[in-house]
Amino acid sequence: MSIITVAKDQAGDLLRRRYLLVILIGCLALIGMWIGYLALMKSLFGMAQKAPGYSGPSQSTAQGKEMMELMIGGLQVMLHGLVGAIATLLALGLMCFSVRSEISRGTIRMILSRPVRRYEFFLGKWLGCVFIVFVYALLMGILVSTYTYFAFGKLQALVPISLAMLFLKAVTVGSVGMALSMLMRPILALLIAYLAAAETFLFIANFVHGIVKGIMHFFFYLLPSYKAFDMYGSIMSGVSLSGVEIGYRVAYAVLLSAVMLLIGAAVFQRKDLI
Amino acid sequence: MNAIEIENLTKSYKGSWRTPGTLAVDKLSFCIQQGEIFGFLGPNGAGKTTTLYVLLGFLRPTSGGGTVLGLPFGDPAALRRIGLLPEYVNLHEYYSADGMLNYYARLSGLHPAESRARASYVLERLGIAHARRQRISKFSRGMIQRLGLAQAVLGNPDLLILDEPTSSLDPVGRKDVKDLLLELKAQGKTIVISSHILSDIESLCDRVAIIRSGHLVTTGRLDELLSTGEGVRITSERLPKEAVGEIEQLGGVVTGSETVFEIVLPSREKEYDVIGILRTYNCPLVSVAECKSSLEDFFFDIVKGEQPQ
Repeated sequence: MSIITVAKDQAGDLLRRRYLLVILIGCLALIGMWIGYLALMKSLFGMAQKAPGYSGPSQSTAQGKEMMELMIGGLQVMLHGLVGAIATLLALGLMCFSVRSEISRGTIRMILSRPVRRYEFFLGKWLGCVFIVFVYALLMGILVSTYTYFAFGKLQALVPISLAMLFLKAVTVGSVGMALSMLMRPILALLIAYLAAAETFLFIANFVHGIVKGIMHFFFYLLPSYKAFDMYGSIMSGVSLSGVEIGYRVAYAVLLSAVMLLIGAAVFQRKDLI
Repeated sequence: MNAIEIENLTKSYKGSWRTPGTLAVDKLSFCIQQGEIFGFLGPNGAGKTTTLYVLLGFLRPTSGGGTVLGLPFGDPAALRRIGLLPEYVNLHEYYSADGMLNYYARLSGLHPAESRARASYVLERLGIAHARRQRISKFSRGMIQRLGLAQAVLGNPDLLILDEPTSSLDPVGRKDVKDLLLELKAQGKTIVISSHILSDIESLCDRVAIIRSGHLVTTGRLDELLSTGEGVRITSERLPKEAVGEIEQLGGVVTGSETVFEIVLPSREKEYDVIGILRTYNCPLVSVAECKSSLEDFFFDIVKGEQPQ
């Protein structure tokens, strides 16, 4: 019961502060610009075809259609990437600071002087943040679907799945950040959670040699990977994930988040609140 | 029965590579009885707040321990019966007074109907009912202090822990709070007050404990601690020179003006002799009282280390 009460307070606090509204307005403006950019590209493509001496593919030919779809697909990948990055940063920002800000403001003392267990407070804060990220993902899903409908003339099943994956990724990274924020400054926890992913070390491993490469590979296997949540390939190819693949990703996100929450709650349980 | 028992409580803070560790509380032991108002005193940095936070489970003791309402420190079952007013009242400023009390009532597990009734009562009792729908960010410091106290008494707790309850209040507010605390004491509640306003402690508390540098310096009933021994203070309205001479022969010290005289005797042995002299000279007797020092004097002596016990 206390978990829900704390979660409601956390979500209410964030909504009252209008963080979500500002981000949504920004994203809405961005999508508007994207749609405008897409219309401009289409128009430029049409003008180029009418230009004297044009020998490239026509919009009516298969090659021309493929080229158009490739261009729109590329733009859509970029859009999903942007929406996902904002979701991840939003989750990290909310989760890394949620408990620590209550400690630094001193408001936690009045809460924990009630019969509220520390893990209930911790989970309540997490749940409130998850709710906000979910609302963001839901609204972005509506906006991106609207954009896709405009671009392709039909709704795509891939869009909600992709956004669900982005939501899972954001919550998982946020949970890692929240656990780390119990051990270090929230801003440091945010940066580490964002950057210390398996893919980062695999990327670095491409540029180094010898023992350093080995260390990078060690971290690649040690640290959590979020690559499975990015559906850029599926968006480009139009091939959706199977039920098993979705289930695997959901299980991975739930398991990793649960482990991180357990670690975070255990550290918080023993923390001196002064 | 004791509401709070503390045994050999030690709390030290770990240092970092830049700062050394601190021993905030060192082998502290004392008890607080149920139904009393207990003053917890000490200079800044003495370890008062640390001790209170250990009781509430905010801090883990380094060693030692004790019980609060018969349960371990920080036990949720005990917290259900405790109200806390911290030294710095930090509230979620986006709430209204009503909203905030509702939030805390839900965390305390109060039924919504009971929560509404209690919120109305405490806001009315503390004189901020008119601002119940106002956002806390618009509250003055004194109103926030009153609201902090309102949330502490919201769940009708058996034990109140108040850190500087009257520090931000005007004289009217201080009187309101003192009246409320006396009313709660009459209802059998236990109240622990940590404050630097010694006049409030003196007028409210049954017993006090004074700590310095994390050590218990003294604890006991206030009237016993402030008693300077066997001395007696007699006040009279008029005192002729002959009477003064006779009293001084008995060992009394006479001070005063033409209208009010104060006679201080080192022991009660000669008390009736002096009263007899006053009757002989027909001097109106105003009062006879035990010699006491003020809490302020006593506290200063203690913290300066002049009266360690």
